[in-house]
Amino acid sequence: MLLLSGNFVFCQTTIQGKITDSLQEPIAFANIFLKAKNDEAIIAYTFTKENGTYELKTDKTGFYELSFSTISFQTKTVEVLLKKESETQILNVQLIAKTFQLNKVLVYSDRPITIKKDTVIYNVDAFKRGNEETVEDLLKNLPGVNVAEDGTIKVKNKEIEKVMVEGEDLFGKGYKLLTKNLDAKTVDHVEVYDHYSNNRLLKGIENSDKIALNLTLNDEYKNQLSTMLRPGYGLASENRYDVKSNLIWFQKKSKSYAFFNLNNVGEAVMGDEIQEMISSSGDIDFENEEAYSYLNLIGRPPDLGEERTNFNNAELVSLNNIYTFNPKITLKTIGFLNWDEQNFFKKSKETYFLPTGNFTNTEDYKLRNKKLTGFLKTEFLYTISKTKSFEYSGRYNRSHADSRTNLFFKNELYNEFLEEQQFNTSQRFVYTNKIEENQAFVLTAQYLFDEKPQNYRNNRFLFQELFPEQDSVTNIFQHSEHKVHTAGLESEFYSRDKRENLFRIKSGVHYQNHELNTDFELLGNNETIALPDFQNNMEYRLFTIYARPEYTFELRNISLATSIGFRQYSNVLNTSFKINKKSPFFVNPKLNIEWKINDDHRITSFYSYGSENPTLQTLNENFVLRDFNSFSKGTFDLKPMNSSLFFFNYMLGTPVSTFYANSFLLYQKEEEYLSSDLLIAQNYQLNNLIRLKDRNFLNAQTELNYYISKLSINTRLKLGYSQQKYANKLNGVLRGLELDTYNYGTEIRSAFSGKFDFHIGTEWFGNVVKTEKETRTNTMNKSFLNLIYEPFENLNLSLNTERYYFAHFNTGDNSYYFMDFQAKYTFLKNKLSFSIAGKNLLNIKTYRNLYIDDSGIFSSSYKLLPRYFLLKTTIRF
Amino acid sequence: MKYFFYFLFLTFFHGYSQNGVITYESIIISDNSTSEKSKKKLFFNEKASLYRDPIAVSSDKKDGETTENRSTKTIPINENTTSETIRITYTPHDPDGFQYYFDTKTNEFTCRELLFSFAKKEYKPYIYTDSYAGKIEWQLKNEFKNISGYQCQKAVADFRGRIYTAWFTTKIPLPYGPWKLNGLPGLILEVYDETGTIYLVAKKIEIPKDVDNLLKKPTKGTRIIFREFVEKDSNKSDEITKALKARLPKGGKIISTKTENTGKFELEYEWEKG
Repeated sequence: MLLLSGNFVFCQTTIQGKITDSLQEPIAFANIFLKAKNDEAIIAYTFTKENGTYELKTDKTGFYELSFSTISFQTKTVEVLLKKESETQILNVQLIAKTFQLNKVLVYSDRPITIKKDTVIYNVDAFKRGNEETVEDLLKNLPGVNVAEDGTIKVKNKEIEKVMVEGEDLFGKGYKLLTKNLDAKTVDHVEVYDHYSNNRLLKGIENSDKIALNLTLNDEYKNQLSTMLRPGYGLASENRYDVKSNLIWFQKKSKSYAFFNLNNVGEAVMGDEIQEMISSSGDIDFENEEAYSYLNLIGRPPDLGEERTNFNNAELVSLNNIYTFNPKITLKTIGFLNWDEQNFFKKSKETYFLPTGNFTNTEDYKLRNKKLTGFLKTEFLYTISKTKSFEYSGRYNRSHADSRTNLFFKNELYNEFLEEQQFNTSQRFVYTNKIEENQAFVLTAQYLFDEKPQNYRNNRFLFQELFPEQDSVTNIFQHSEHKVHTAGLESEFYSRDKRENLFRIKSGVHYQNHELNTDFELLGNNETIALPDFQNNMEYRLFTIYARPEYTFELRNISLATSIGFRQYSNVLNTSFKINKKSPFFVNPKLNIEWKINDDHRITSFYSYGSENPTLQTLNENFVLRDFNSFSKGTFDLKPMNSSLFFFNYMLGTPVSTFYANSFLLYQKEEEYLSSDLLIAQNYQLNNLIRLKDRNFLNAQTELNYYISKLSINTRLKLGYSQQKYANKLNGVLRGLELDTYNYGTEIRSAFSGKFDFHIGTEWFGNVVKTEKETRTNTMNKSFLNLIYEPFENLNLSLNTERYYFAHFNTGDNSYYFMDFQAKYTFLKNKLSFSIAGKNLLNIKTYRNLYIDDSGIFSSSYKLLPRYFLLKTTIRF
Repeated sequence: MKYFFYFLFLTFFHGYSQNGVITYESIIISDNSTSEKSKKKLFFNEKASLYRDPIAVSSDKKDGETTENRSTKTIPINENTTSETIRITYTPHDPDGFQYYFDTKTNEFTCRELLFSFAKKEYKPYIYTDSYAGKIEWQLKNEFKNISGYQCQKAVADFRGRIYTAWFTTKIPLPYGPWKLNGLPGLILEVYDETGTIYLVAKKIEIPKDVDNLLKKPTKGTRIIFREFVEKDSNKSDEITKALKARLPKGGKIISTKTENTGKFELEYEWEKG
């Protein structure tokens, strides 16, 4: 060892000399490099100085070659012997002038990144750093691909549409399920597609700003299983758990994904990812194709977030697969089963101010809802040729739900039962033909069916006042059933001219058939009374033929999009006794302008005018029970309704300017609208829909930002106002109404370079209801303070505090404070991490809010999930 | 005798005026903007090199280089809409653009760069001397690859916060390369940084080509000391990213402290290291 290092010190050779040309003039900046004899690798190099001298040091020994080269001279190579002893060799060289000539285009084969029009291809090997576990980690390494903390992937600051695997899309917008779980080493290439089209043949023809990723897999790692398990369990609290697991398995022809989740911490078990995975695009744009359910017992929770209000117990199993029969034929199957149990608790006090006198009701109810949902979707894609494709997509969804409530209404107990079923299906066929490079034709045929039958029972009779003759009734029952059949055939033609302006025309026929049966019954001892005013049995058929040309073009810095919809309808509404027919013709134009005046001023604006047919749920000629004590009835009038809409947006500055403001204004005018003729009594409410003229809605919002660079903070000011003017009838009195809302608030957020950051803000929301006689106001305030502290890289701490304040409570608490805490510690990056979350640290058990409208003041208090701590670990293998 | 002298002078002159142009393709990919693919030219003779945008007078402009000049935007209508992005690209309308002039005699770069002024919404040219850049310490690796018939050796160097891999060939005995990367015993044909943000490749070699009238030190711009220029520059971009970060909505968690890949070439400087 000693000897070796000794050698190192002593055997340094210095080669010195001067390079000259044939006239003994020095050659400056010539290359001198040393190579072992018969070897390519340069081991040392230097350049000559201005006077032509050089000096090269090396610790190598043996036979070497020293080359002298420069562009204007012939390269000269001299053999040198480097001895063990350190020495200085002098080597002067004379070079012969030579003209170097080269005219060549170079070609590269293995570039780490290839950029083609609308496609960027990353050769993944060039970007691996060795510590990547999941595809998400890998994507983080790719320049130009940005992965947010929550897994959202952005390219060019825009969220991507999907992540495909070998051109196949199993996850849709729920791509995080894939990127967070698939093993990084399975991936060979990542491709980023810009201006992506879901229909491959429309690429470059339709307007698209979508971006999609595609992963190509390494053959070696196909067949590999990626598994993630994330158990979470409550600490020092009630029995709380949250368990997730998933499994990915890719084979050559078959790609599978399974997912499993159960929790009782309020988290929607379906999750956004699963929702996004089953959502479908490319459907015909039908209207009102969903069946309507008349009764809904689950109240709307206050806007505090599900983790505070949702008492649940949910389980989900999902299995998904894509199978490739051959490169032209693929079959995709998505299925899941979801079981959910929900509890809901609400107490409310309703004070009515009516033309006929004032009164107060109290309600206290508990609800338990159990729901089972099954879903299956299959997609079959057949690529006929380079310009033609055929696609079939079928969807089936069935669910069954049971709810029961214990309702104390005015301190008397009622028990409600609601049984709901849903079945819907969609069958879609799409044929695409790319006629020319810039022209395409898409033909879509689709059939949809939806039904939502409901059976409702209340074990007591509340409507003695309404039905004074019925004195032997003990309980009530309602059966309602809405069925919708929808079928359509639509053709779309796209054509893009040489100046890139797009012309598109959609045309087709739709047929829709609604069947409605509602049956409200009074049940007594051994008798059933069905009152004719509370039964509906009707059929509503709509037939349309339509065309909608659309043209977009650009004029310098103005971009314009125009379209006009032409629709000829033939509609029939009939009951057993009556028939109502109408054949309206609609012309619905729309104009959209985007105008970039300069870098600091941008305007977006649109105007549209449209006519609409009334929907089935506004047409029922007799009453339907809508709530435990309210009935409603429609108009049986088929006259279309017209409205116009205007929108204007102005942006001053940009998000990176010191001062940045964004404002918009929206104005809607309805020539005719549906309003209510409402009769409110202590024990029941009857609502008749009526048609009135002129409703106006105005909404203006603005947001101003100022960035103080000395302090690294942004200050934000928000202002908003909306106004709605219309009329209704309450207990026989027709009156004009004005509803105003306003909001104003401010926020400060830091962007310090250190470990600590904060975000603080407050906002006031006001509601004003004005009738001719009175004005009612409701004001609330929402404030928050969020603190983030990252003492070191693996540990992240955050503390969020919120305050809700209601200005108009006369009694009891008028402000509520919430505090949540979260700590996350990463033990082994992407393999093992721990997190602890403390929810509702101040243990607020009930929350009360206030709501006003033109009939009264309503205060409700809700039970919340008490304080709990949840310890979670994430394990991946 | 007199004629002989002239003759001698001529050969002498010819010998020292071996010049040419290398056309490089520059691909810069940053996280928050479009990947930028553009053509650059390296003019050289034996005494100096100049790396810059192609001069617009020729018909060069048409063959493919695209400078992103579009601004796309999505306008948020309210707090709940998730689409939030507004992309703004200001394109400098300066015909001289960025220039990197290397003088073999002094071993120094004279650079012309443009700085964006947010107050005035325009680019302003600056000229500085960078004397460190010409002295990159390349480590030669015993790795080779063939690029269009040229055997290239690999060299690696850490230069201002990025680790560059360069492939050079002694078959073209020029010590030059793209941008501020040079000083190898052969022309750099391909060079990229470890993160893949920067990728520069020679696409076309034309030797000889008379470029002596183009090979000039940049002069149009405000003279500034390099360090002052860097401070001016970093203040600006820091300000922008911070302003963006401080403007995230409430839902947008203030978690990520990861510095984004902005496509900047130089990330740290000699004077910043201890």
